[in-house]
Amino acid sequence: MAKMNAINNKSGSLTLDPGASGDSFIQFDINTTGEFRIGVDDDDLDKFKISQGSALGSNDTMVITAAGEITYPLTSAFCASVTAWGGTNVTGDGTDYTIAFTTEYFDQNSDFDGTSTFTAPVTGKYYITASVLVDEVSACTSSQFKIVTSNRTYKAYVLNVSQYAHAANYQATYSLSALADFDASDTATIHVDLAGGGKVVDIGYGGRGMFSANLVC
Amino acid sequence: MAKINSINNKSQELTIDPGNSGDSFVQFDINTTGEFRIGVDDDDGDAFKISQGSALGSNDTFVVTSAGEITQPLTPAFLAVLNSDISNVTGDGTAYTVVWDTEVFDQNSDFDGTSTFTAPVTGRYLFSWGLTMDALTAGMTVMYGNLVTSNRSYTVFQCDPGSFRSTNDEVGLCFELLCDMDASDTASVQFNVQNGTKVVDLITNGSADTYNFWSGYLVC
Repeated sequence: MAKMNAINNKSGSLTLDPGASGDSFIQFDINTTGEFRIGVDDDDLDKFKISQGSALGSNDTMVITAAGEITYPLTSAFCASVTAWGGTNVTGDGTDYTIAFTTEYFDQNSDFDGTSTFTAPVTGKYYITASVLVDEVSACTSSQFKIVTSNRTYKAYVLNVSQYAHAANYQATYSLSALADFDASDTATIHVDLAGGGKVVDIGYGGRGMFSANLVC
Repeated sequence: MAKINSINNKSQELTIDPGNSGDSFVQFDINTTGEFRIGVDDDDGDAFKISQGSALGSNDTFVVTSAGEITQPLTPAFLAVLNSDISNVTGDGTAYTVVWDTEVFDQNSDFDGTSTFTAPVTGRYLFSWGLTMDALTAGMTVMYGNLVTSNRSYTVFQCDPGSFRSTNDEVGLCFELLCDMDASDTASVQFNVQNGTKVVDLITNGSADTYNFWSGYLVC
């Protein structure tokens, strides 16, 4: 039978123990609505959890395994890649092109729109990583790769891009990362802008281009 | 005298107070086995902790200091570096998986000490790495860098190192990636230089600085 041990006045502690089976937990309600539950999930290897609602094991927001690993299954995190040849003739003449990342590997909390835009669900610091492979850059003399957020734009410049590129087919890879401050509903997109040639630069060879973000704190 | 305030039905509060000294905590047991304890550690700057077992201060998994800093002392995180050169690993198209000679830290023991990180739980992991190569020649016009995971292999850079190598025939590259991994999935760092001979090295320049590194941690 489930039980709650009596308050221990000697040690200033509270011990919860359901007995042979069942969860050991504390329930936080407001006006009889289950808001959060914290405790040990007997049905999931005795992991410690903070869960939304009135049950451990559904809508878990923080999970600590018996080995100490911590996951946050509902916090904001996504990763997507460009589709093979996802953009042709998109820049090269100074055009600022917003890259589409249409292959979504995961989108925990559903904050990526499936194409190009990540929207911060809450105010916080987010870690952003981005990369892309560009093709046909033989005439380009300068370039910028950018993480564009509502608060500011983070840029990487590469000069003499045609020398940096793969000689046989004039392909090159850019990458950039930033720990960025977001307000709730702020957005982030990834841009590439090559100049000095014609609008013949393609992106997405082999699906090579990644965009990821996660809420850090 | 140690005390715990009784549950206040009016405000729905529960206050735990040991008095002059001692921890203030809630213990979660199942069938008398101590599973987790949460509370304030009186012996450690009054930090708030979630700890395994039946004690605050040992096997702490989540710690909030009185200033608000949060650490997760048992969650997976590692850093490996090279302290010695590795010679003649590619240049001829060989896909070389980097063998790291020094483990700086390996919280939770998920890195094998040489090349492979194994995810202990399903989650999202952030990897960062940097490589410094030497002995590149003009003819080496193609290089690929990969993060090889069980779910997929990411070709994260592709370039012509023969063209933009330094006057010392060196090239340095770095990258970061957020990856989805299932429990027991693995990850390793690989690169491949083509159209030359097998003379490309990873170098440390005999310096205490870190020219080659790989790190990863469980994000969420």
